[in-house]
Amino acid sequence: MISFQNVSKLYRGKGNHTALQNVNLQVGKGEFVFVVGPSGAGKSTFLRLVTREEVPSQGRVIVGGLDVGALRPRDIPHLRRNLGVVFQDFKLLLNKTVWENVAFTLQVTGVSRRDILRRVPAALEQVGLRQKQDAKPLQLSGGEQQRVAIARAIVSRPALLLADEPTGNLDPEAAKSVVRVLWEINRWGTTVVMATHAQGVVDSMRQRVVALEDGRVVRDQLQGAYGA
Amino acid sequence: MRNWRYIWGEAWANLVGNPWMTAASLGSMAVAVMVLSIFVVFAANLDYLAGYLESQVQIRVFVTDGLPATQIAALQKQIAALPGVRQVSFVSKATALKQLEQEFGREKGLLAGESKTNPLPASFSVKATGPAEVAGVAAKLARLSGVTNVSYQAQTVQRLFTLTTALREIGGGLALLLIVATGFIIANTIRLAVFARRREIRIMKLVGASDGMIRGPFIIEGLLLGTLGAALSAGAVLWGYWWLFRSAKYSLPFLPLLSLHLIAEILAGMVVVVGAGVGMLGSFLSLRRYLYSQEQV
Repeated sequence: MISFQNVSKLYRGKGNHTALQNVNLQVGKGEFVFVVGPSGAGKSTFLRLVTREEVPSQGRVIVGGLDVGALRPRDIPHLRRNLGVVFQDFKLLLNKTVWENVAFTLQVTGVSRRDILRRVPAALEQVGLRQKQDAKPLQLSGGEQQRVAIARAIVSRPALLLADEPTGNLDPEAAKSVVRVLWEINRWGTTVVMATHAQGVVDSMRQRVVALEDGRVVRDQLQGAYGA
Repeated sequence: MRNWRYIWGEAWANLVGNPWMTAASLGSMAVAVMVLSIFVVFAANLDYLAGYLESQVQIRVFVTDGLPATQIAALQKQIAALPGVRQVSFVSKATALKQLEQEFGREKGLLAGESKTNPLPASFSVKATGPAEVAGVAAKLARLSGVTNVSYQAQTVQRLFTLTTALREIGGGLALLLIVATGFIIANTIRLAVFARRREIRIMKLVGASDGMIRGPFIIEGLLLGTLGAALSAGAVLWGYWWLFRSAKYSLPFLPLLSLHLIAEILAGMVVVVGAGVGMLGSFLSLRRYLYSQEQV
């Protein structure tokens, strides 16, 4: 699903900060992977290279068979329609209802109205928010807002779901509900990559853990835990 | 087709959903277009006035006293055939005297002695195609046989020529400048709208919306705002012109003014070209810059 081949990422400017250094990594179809490490270890850069928000300074990033770094700008939408992304701060549109936020993904990618009417309720059902479809984001709790964001990410049925610190702003209960939803999604066949430093979550799941430190992969462990 | 429904729906929802933003944008567009339309109305009338004045430039061609009618007719044909001549009319001795009497008005009694002998020569009144042609035409006229003297107000013609040329050139330049300025105002207005919705744009990009889909609603917004703003100001300017036109007809009846109908046509053209065209182009360009600067996102 994802293949990093000798990938380095340099941010030019003050001090030429190296965010990733010579990373080699394969993520297979249907895997559930935690990317852990302290702040600034390169977790977000890793995800941004997959979504083509960044291009690698060296090496190749292959996602679903596409050489992401070499994509022409007009081909980027095709890559992203096969990705779902979830952020720490949810990034919901506050003036739209839950339903509209989820439907938005489909509308802007040109999905027919009939399909939207079919797929939005299914996605909301999957995150357990069918009852709140008419609420505005600010009327919901943090955990619920994040689940709306997840519904938005999966409504286009992506093969790969990326989550960047999805539980970072949530209390432990809400975090658990969010991770449970991600786990469910993974069981239906979607590859999930989650960057996090929520130790409790990682330790309770016993999934593959990739640890980054100063831009290098220092550990890659099946059924791993947060600490070594 | 369904994309169009989304794009128009979104544009409309954004305009109606942010009434203050919409009012502010409409206001600045209306003011920008109003400055431009007032100028264009003014310039169009000046041009009309210049053309009118140009058409009034006359060359007087005096003919030998006692020239027979057949020769006068032949001379008139000759003059009319000269390049640069727009119109030629014959003023007989009797007509010349009558005109002079008219000019004297109540004091025409002073001419009583003259009307018996009539020393005024017969002449042709010649109009050139434009002030630039007057001097050349006059020179050619002087060389014709049967012509004793040619006169025209050389200085007046020269000044008028300079004035009308300058008016047209400066007017054209200013109009271009104002159109560009209007375009910038519209582009900036759209840029503000883009900035206010950068979150939405980022999400659209992340879920794989094409650039066309992201631009669409903004371009339609630019089109609607531009057209509506321009229509508002054009309406106001037209109303103002109508009011001025009506009062000028009584107080300055000699002033040639373009008809209301023609001004309405000019303003309607501006609504389409400046309002719709520049509105769409402005949002297209400001969005292209924005999307380009965010290319990686």
